[in-house]
Amino acid sequence: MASYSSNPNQIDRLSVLPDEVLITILSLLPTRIAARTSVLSRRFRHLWKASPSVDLQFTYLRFFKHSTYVTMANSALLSRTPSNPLLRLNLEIGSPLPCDLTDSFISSLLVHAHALGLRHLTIDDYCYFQPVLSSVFSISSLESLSFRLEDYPFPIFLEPGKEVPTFPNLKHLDMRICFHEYNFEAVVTMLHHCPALESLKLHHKPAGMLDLTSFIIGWLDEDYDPFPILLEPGQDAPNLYNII
Amino acid sequence: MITLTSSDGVQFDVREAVAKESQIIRDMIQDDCVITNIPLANVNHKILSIVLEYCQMHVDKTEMEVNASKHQTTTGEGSSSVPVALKVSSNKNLNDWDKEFINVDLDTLYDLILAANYLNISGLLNLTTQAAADIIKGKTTEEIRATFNIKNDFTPEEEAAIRKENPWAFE
Repeated sequence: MASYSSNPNQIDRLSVLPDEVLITILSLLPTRIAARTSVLSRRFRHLWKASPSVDLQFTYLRFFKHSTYVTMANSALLSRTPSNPLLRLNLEIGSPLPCDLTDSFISSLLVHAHALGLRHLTIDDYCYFQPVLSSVFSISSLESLSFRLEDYPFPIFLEPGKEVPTFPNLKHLDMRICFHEYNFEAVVTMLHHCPALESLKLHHKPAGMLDLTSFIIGWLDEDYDPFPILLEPGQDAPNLYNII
Repeated sequence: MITLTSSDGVQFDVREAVAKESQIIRDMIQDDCVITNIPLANVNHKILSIVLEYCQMHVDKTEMEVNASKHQTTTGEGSSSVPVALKVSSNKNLNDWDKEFINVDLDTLYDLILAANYLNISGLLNLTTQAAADIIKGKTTEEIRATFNIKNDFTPEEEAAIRKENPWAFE
């Protein structure tokens, strides 16, 4: 310690942190920023590629060419092999879709993420995601799924009996999107296929019409409650608690 | 009580619950339930006292919530409104406290990251690595090198070639 404190401004202590710690730090950055660290020094040359998180913010690239998205997605995600599993994927899409970005392109990212054993998926700000819904719903390895769509609540439609996902490990579901009102049955069916669910957030008020009483969910949040925590997961909640 | 001894020989007597915020200490206690003194070879007393301050605060908050919910149960009020408000405000307080707690110089931050990693305290590791990531965010390559004293060991040609590999990262 004494040797560091004698001349703290000259020592690079970041680079001597263990690989796994540096990779954790890089995993907390948007992928674009993490990739920039490749030019810092040889120590950082390839570290960012080992991150278990991919966070693609297409909104920054609004005016880029399609080829730019493709190279980014290739380096960050599509060139990954199962030897380097992907735990977390955040997609910040932007509304309307940035030029040249297509639904099928986004679907291809999701399909690849599925093959890499994705556990946590967040999709932000995607104006109309019905076309990619089936890709999302096929990722059965998910433990948390979050759609965050603040300004464009375009109703999605789950066809009863079709496209109903099964998420055996899903613990956290945040669907701040709205449903067609005749679509509640499909939502119930979907929840029935999520046996591990611990917390649920819904936008709008479908819960008033949904019979959720047979679910064991400790934490339900409807609409944009500024105090979303009703109960700790599992705590004193043998059944669904307190829908406001 | 458990006695934790820092690498420079200073002893800290802490409650078992506080020590158990560390996964490796939790494992040690589980394996050997009569253990009372644990030497920590990789953490000096200055950093250990900061780490224990973190653990103490987080244990206290958790216990306060448990007590509050017990009180709620015994008074038999059906509504969950009181604990909700309490929980929200205490989460907010704890986040504020964390933010203040992690406002340290870089050297201390490195030591806390290493200690959290060695002792396996997931909350503290999350907090400290996030703080490091936040320092990197919003800086140019040169600024990052300057902040962390990273020596650029690439030739200009090599650096240009790497930038070309991932042009999307640098546009």
